[in-house]
Amino acid sequence: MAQPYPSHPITLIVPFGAGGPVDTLARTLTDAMRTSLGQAVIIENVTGASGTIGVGRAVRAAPDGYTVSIGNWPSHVVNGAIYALPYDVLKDFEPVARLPSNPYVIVARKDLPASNLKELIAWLKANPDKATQGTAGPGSGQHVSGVYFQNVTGTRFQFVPYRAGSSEIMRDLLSGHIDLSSTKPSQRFRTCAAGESKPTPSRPTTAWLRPPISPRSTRPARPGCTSPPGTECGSPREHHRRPFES
Amino acid sequence: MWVPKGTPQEAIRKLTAAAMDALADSTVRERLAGLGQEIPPREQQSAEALAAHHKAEIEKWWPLIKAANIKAE
Repeated sequence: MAQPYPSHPITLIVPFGAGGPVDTLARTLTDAMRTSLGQAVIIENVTGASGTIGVGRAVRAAPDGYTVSIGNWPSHVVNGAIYALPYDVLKDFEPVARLPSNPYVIVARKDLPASNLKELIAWLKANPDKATQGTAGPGSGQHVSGVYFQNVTGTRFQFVPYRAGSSEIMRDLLSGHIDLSSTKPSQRFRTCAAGESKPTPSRPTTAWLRPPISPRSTRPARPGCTSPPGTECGSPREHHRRPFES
Repeated sequence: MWVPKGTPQEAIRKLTAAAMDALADSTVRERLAGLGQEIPPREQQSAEALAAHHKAEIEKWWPLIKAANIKAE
């Protein structure tokens, strides 16, 4: 390189919209990376087609160190199995760093008669093919993690696709139109913090499920909003470290 | 975090170091934990660790997704 790298700002392609979990992670990191690199890292949100547009843009960028990209489990693992992609996520990229992950959790409508994961599985087995889980459509992270949950637990339920994705799913879950959702802790806890789920004798069921690792890591069920907004629900960390024991 | 194939190794090394420095920063860690993000241990943050993790994830999930006949709309 003629000049010491980096001599000008770096672009970070985020294949999802501003404000979502991947974008928030990117923004948190780039602020700190600027200090190490001595150059700004500018985020470009290139959205569409489940992240394939942004990843496609990143793969065609000049390999000069000034275009970096970020992704997640749907964009860099799931998509390759369900789309005919014009790129190969393993062969066309060089890895830079493994970043934090945001596990999926299973949440249930608050009057579902189960208050932990074991009870949820038992209820699903007693009511095969009756329960409904909202997803952002076939092949979405919610859908694939839901299929995984069925495989691991030996349960069957139906998937309901939502065009607008998470916000609509959560609305219908809170109003009881669907039974389950596979979602991200940050979103779940925002809902709690907003006070939309109230503690009731039949509490919402939050079962931690982390697709990217082994079946045994399926997360323990937790009552969702059992405390006033901003207390238990506002602190997801404490829920993360409890291994599932059947 | 990735770069296109063919990116100079020097650039990759600097980017990896910058990302890992960011993940070691206490303000960043606090913020990410508050978002429900799980930060891998430092030895699992390297480029090599991502390569191994990514490959393992694909080997695990593609058969499952294909067996379940999941298709995009």
